[in-house]
Amino acid sequence: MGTDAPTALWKKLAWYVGLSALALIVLFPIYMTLVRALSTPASYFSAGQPWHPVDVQWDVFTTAFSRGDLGSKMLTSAIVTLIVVTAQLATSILAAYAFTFLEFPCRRLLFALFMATLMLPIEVTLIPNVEMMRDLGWFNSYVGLSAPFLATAFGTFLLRQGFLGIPHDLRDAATLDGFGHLAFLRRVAIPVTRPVVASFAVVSFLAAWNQYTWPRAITTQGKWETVQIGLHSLASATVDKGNLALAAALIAALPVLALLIFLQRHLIRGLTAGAVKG
Amino acid sequence: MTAKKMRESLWAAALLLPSLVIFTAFFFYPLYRLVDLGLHQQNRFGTSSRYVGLDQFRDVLTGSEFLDGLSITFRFVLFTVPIGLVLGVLLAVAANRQLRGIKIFHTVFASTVASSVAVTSVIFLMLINPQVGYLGDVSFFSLADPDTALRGVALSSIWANLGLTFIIVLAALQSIPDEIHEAAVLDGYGPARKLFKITLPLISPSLLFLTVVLVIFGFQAFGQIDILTGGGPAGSTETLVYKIFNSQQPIAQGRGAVMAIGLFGVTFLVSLAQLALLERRVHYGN
Amino acid sequence: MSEIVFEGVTKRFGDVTAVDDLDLRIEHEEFMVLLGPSGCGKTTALRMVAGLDSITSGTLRIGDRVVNDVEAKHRNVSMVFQSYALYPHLTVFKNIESPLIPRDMSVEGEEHPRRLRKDERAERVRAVAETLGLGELLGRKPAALSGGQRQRVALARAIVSRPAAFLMDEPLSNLDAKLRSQTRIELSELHTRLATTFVFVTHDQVEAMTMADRLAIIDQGRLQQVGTPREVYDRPRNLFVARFIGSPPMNTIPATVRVDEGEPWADTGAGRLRLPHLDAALTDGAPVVIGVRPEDLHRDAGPVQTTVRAIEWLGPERHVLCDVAGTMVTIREPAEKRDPQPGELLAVGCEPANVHVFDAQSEERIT
Repeated sequence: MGTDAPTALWKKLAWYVGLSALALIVLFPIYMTLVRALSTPASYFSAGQPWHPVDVQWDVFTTAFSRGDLGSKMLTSAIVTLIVVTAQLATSILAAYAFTFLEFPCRRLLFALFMATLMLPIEVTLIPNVEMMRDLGWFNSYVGLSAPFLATAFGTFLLRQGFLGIPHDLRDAATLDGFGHLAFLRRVAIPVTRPVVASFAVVSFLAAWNQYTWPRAITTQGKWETVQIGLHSLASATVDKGNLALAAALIAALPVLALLIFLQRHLIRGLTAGAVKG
Repeated sequence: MTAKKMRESLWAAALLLPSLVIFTAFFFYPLYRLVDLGLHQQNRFGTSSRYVGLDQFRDVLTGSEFLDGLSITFRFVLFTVPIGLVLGVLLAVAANRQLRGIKIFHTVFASTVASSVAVTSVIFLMLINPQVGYLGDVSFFSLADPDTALRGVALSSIWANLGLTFIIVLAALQSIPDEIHEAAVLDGYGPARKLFKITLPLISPSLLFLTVVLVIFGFQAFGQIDILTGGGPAGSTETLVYKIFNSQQPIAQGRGAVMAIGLFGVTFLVSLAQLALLERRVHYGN
Repeated sequence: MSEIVFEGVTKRFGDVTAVDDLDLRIEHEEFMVLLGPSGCGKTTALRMVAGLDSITSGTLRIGDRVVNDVEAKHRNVSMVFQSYALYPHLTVFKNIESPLIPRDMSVEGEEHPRRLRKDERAERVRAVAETLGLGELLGRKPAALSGGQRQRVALARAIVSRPAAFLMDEPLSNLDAKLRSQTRIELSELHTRLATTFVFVTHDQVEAMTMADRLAIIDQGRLQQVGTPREVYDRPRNLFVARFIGSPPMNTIPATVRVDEGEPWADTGAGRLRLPHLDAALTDGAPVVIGVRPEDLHRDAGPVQTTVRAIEWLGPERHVLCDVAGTMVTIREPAEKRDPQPGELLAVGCEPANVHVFDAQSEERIT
């Protein structure tokens, strides 16, 4: 479609109008969220639920922040996300390196076994995993929140694809230069596949930050809730104060929104390589 | 040479060990544990368990609890996947052209990818909640009515998945070489014919991939139900995962485990069937 | 001393034998070219020297050391790859420096090799870059270089560690024709200046003939002939070598030996050609293949009847393609001669001394 003949002005205009209409539909829920978050609930309803904010309260965000204890929940989310992303990068890079550059017995079987874990989402193994956390006393802890996600077959797969793209000659040249496995990994393999590593890190971040089912299952104390679970608590506790929950939702989405805007290229590459979403 | 092979194997073992430990502890052992739980029945306090063999599997898998959950899950998938796919393709086809500022539209259409299931659910709770919701009068999606609540949940999921669908379809569209479109135009294909005869068949591998992904998302849906309906009203939105989630107490664990194995089996079969069915009608380029 | 000696070296990949019982001695400071069609095993032979491929059986020596089980980095050889294999994320400087980092290097005036200090490495990199005219480019990344510059960086990286042998795998094949002929000359000069053993793999016989001290011709994993370019051209040991070396290649025509009053002749089916006197006795009626270089054929009332099929005019010379009893042969002649026409009948001949005779069965040269 890229090289359509010179498009007539009116045709272009028609496309802009059509695309804008679609954009408005897609953005409508977010717009209404803003309207409702900023409005004072009582005034909004007595005004008959209009399309614009009523009796604007700018401090709703700070109120939501303090009432929902969002600070500590964002911190919990951030720490868990940091642990998970870092660990997934490490374990996936190491495993992908082995599957790409090393010869060893049962290689194909082991790779199949890795990929089989993609068929076992946490929803399926929830009951025994939660039971295990209870037995280990890992409820309400960073280790409990992150442990099942410290390794991922998706990352192994994605990074292996990246490593497979490294020319054989480059590997051979490095061997002749005298690089061992770790030196090759650090000095050549990772820098050369940096875009793939970045894409994986971004997708991993997205999945970890947006995680819902697992933290919901193994947190029983408010102070260990991640921000996503905090939203659930706010939504169910404040039906009459919907504006607070909505403001909190906007705050919770901010880090990922920043990701979308600033690292869109990596995010898209990672998602198109194999979709993962929390 | 054997010494070299030995060394490589040791390296491999060391590099794979961290992942293997995690996978064993949190994937493979729990799978075994699921089967084990399924073969036993526990008392209310989890203090004693009795071997019941396959009886529990038979009872649960043919029982109304599992079958209801399965049927609700299937309906949820049916509501979300086809509509989600069509909308995603629509957005991607519309936005796949060279216009000044098209990148802004790309970002907007992709934006819902950033919205987590919790964020999405809170937003749609406001939009369609019958007491305080903006579209509360649109009874087609009402969360208060057992007949329509699942549609409301599906609506939020369709919106949430739109970004991902758009991103993947757009990437597929952009990978089609310009020459193919030019050849189609020279061959006298109009826009609609070109879309259905050329473009869609060419991106069918991506559509197949998306279908599988969206179906699996549907099977795993939990957060939106937890926040929007809590399984209600009258259990009308209790999907399998929702039932599994609520089978944590000792007395329910055995049943929950069997349902989880059932969910795993159904997901597995559906993925296989889908691949087998669609594979024959899919054009794989390159 | 850094001669490289293959003794009965075989390399198998599964069921495929890539190199079959290779015996070859590459002399100290020699420029040896391994020449053959693609897939013939020449690159595998080179990679075994480098230590990148293991040796299935036989012995490989570098100097007086058997290196079968020596790791690549301890063999003191370096290699230029066909793709150059530059690290895309590193600058030219760091690319050239990389072989100096993880290895011990010998230093003038010191007894034992050791790791170089950063400033010593920089000094060596600068010196090598200077000799190859890369001084201005040290800060650039490979993507910002032309093909010829990349090739030089690859050379510099190979030279900087002062290896005992210098291995090159088709290093010129990614250059355009003009740059390639210029680089051939530079490589020959570099060989003279470095006084190091060069092993150069190529499928291009022009590269082989112009640069090699000696060349080793390999086909299907087997060594066909080793010799100076002149020896190989003048006395090909078998039909493969005869047809592989020379452009256009040697004409080979199936024929039957006729011994007439003690004089050997070859009956081509379109006329008889006089054969040279050979040590081996030729028996009447023996099937042979005779070979004549295109430039050795002439069309001045010779004994063999041919029909002209096509003419290729190349400026100073002309190739006349004609049909000898169903076999295509090429005559290479100066362009000032009278133009033949397609369909024209020609009487072709050549001097007996210029006729090469090969056994039709074994395809070996009969001497």
